[in-house]
Amino acid sequence: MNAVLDVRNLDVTYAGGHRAVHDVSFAMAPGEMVGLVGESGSGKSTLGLAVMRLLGTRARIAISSRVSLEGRELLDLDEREMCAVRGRLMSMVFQEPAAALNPVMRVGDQIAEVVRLHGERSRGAALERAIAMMERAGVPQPGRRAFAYPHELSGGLRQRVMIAMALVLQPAVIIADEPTSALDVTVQAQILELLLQLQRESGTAVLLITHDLGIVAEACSRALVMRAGALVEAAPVDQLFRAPAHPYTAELLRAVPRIRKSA
Amino acid sequence: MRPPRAAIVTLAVIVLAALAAPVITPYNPAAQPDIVADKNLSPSRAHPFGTDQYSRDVFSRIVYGGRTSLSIAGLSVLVALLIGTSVGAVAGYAGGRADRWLMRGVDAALSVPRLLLVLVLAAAFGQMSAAGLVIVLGLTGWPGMSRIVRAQVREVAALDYVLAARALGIPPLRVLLRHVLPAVMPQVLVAATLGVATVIPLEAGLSFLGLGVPAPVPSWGGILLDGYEQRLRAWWLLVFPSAAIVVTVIAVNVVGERLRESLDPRLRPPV
Repeated sequence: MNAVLDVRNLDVTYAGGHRAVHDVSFAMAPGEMVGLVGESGSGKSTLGLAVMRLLGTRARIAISSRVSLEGRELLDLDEREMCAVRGRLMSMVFQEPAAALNPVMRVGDQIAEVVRLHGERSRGAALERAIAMMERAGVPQPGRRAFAYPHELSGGLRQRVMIAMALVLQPAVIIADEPTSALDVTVQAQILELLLQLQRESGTAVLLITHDLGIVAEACSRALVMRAGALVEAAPVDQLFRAPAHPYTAELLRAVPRIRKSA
Repeated sequence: MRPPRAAIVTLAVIVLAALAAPVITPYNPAAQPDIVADKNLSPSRAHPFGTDQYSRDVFSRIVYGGRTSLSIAGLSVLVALLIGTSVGAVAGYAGGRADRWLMRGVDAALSVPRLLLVLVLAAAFGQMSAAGLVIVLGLTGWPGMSRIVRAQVREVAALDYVLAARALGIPPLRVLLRHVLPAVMPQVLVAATLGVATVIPLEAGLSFLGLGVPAPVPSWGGILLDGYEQRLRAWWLLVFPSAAIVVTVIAVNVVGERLRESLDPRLRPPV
């Protein structure tokens, strides 16, 4: 497999000795949607932040760990080079769109800021691109909504804006950390549909972090199961749901009130 | 929330009076028309706050003194604000070693009482110009400010949208300037307002000790100093300048406190 993101022996230890991610290896093919599941505290989010190199100074990534994105070794980059990677080659969608948008900036400006940072000189062209991306992300009346502040938008719209922001530069990889967990069930389905559609259109690989196995069954081709910092199982979704190899996966599946057969 | 109307109006009147001093004062604050016949006149229609030992009109001197005292207070807080915000923002956002070193410096600066520090500096420089006072008061005022800014910056920097901004490749300095500092500004402005209320008595104290702006320029503390010798003969020489100081400080404090209350997240509707 020609991997777009290749993570080898990723090991993260927090100050105080807690080993949050334990020797995790996986790879993602271009345009692939991979689910990363596990209970709270299993290290899913830490894994995502570690790949983005966004962990604070209180967490340490072991020197034997390797994270390569399109063949480039991210753990060797300095912060300046990392800033050029983030947003353009790899970006992130967060759980709480209300908290993940700057409350005192118009949403269009927030998207345009990303466009301008990564090369666009003209303010107007950046805003136009932001509006076009909002339209692709299914924001109705994007030309008007671009001038709204986050609190003036509904939760679903905010998440669409967040997704537009993450995707505006067509990154190769998106890490979506519980992108639907804070939303209403009906909105959840729409946002998931949007993610799938954009992923198909732009060939972006998505690492979908969630604790909701239903979402994984619906959206992902493969799933990674994490427990206590370690990757316990990695398998295509239908195989995972039909015949879980690891007892923990089986237990997770049993914990879901109603298991739907995957498509 | 009920706005502190009385305090705002009082403050506005004081500031406007200082700004419009040449228009509203009946006399030149430095003029000594008749040092024998007109000295130490008690308040009258011609001299609402009386005259001092040099026959100068106290009302005019207080209004002009407000110009001096308020602009020194305002400008020195501005100096403190600029330094304190820079230091606090860098310490709070960078964290780690930079934070530890900067904050130990601040701790050290705060371990010396401000008045003592100001006195030493004032004594070292001798007679000081207004600009000198601004610098001395500003240089002794920023450590407290930087602590407030640092605490606020740390709080905001931990919010999701700051992480999101970083995840989108926005460089650290830009995240700090565009996404963190604007969210901190309201609290900083409150701190600055309350800072003004601390600096006014400090400046008055220095002037009273003869370490303030040099003689012919009136300042509230200087007027008090001039009147002190005459205190048994002329009560108006102490009461009116003191009242100017006290009323201004209380008004600034009330406005600052109300600003602070209106920003308290516990009193804010949920976002």
